[in-house]
Amino acid sequence: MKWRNIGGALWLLALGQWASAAPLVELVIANHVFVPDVVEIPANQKVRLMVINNDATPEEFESYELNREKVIVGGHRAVIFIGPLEPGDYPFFGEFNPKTAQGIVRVKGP
Amino acid sequence: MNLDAVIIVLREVLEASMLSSLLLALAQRRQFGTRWFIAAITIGTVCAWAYAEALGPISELWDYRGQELVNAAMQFGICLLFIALAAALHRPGVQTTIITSLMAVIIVLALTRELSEILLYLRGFAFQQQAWSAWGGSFVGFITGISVGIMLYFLTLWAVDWARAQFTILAVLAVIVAGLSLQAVSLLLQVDLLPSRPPLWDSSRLIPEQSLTGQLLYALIGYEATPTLWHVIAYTVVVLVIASIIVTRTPRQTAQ
Repeated sequence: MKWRNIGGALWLLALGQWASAAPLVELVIANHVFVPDVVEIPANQKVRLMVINNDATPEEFESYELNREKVIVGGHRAVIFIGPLEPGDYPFFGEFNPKTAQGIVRVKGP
Repeated sequence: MNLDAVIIVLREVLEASMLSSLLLALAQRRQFGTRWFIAAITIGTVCAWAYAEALGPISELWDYRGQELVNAAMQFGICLLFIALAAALHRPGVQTTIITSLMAVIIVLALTRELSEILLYLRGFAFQQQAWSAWGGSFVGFITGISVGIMLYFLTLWAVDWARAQFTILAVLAVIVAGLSLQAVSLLLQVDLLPSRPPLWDSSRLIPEQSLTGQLLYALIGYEATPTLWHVIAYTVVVLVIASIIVTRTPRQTAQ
C-alpha cells in the first residue's frame, strides 16, 4: 500500500511536470528553410519550440549554443524545450541541409 | 565531396562500429563463436530500418516526447546491459549464451539508434538529382567508421597479454558507454523531464562542439562543452560502477 502511494505521488509529480505550460513558439521548415529565421523569446523563461516540418524529407534541428538536437521527420512536428536563457543570440541550423536551413533564437531581456 | 556528409555519417557509424568490434574481439578471444554477432548485426539493421520508418509517429507520442524517451531508454539500456556484461565476464560459471545474448542486445540497440539516423539522413537526398557529392561523402564516412572498427578488432585480437587486453577493452567500452549516458541526459533535458540547470563549465573555446575534434569526441566519449550537474552525475556514476567491477574483480581467463 505504501509503495502504491509513493508510485501515485511520483506519477502525479510527473504529470505535473509534463503539464507545466511553457509558452509555445512555432517554427516551420519549408523548402529546407526555417520560417521565421529569427525566433524571439523572453529571457529567463522556459519555452516550448514546436518545429513543424512541411517538407517531405527529414531534417535535424541542431544547435551547439542551445545544446539541442532532434530529427523531425518529413510531414511531422516536434517539440523542443529551450531555456531559461540569458539575453543574446543563439544560432541553430538544419544538420541535413546546413547551407539553407539557418536560424537564430533571439532572447530579449525585460 | 560533401564534407558535412562525411562527418555526419562518420559520427554515427564510429560509436556503433567501435562497440561492435570490441565486443566481437572479446567474444573471439573467449571462443564464443560469431553466430550471435551475425544475428545481432542482422537484427540491428532491420530494427534501425523499422525505427527510421516509424520515427515520425513515435516522435509525436507522449506530448511530442516520444523520440527522446525511446532514444534515452536505448542509451540507458546499453549502459545497464554493459554493466551486467562486465559483471558476467568477471564471474565464474556464467553461461556463454547469457554473455553472448548481452553482447548481442547491446549491438542491436546501438545499431538501431545510430543506423536509423543515417538512413533518415540518406533519405533526405536519396531522390534528389546531382546528389553524388552527398552520396560520396556518406560512403567515405561509412567506410572510415567501419575501418576504425575493423582496425580496433585486429589490434585487440593480436594482443599478447590477454588479461591486460581484456581490461583495456572493457575500459574503452566503459568510456563509450558512459558517453551514451551523457547523451541520454541531454535528451531528457531537451524534453523537460530533468529540470534545466546552468552549465558547470564551458570548454567550447578550447574544443568547440562543432569542430571535427569536438564531433569525434562526442561520438567517442559523449563530449559536452557545457555540461550540467546532471551530465556529470550520470557520467561519474556509470564510470564508477563499471570501474568497481573491472578493477576489483579478477578476470576469468579460460573460455567457457
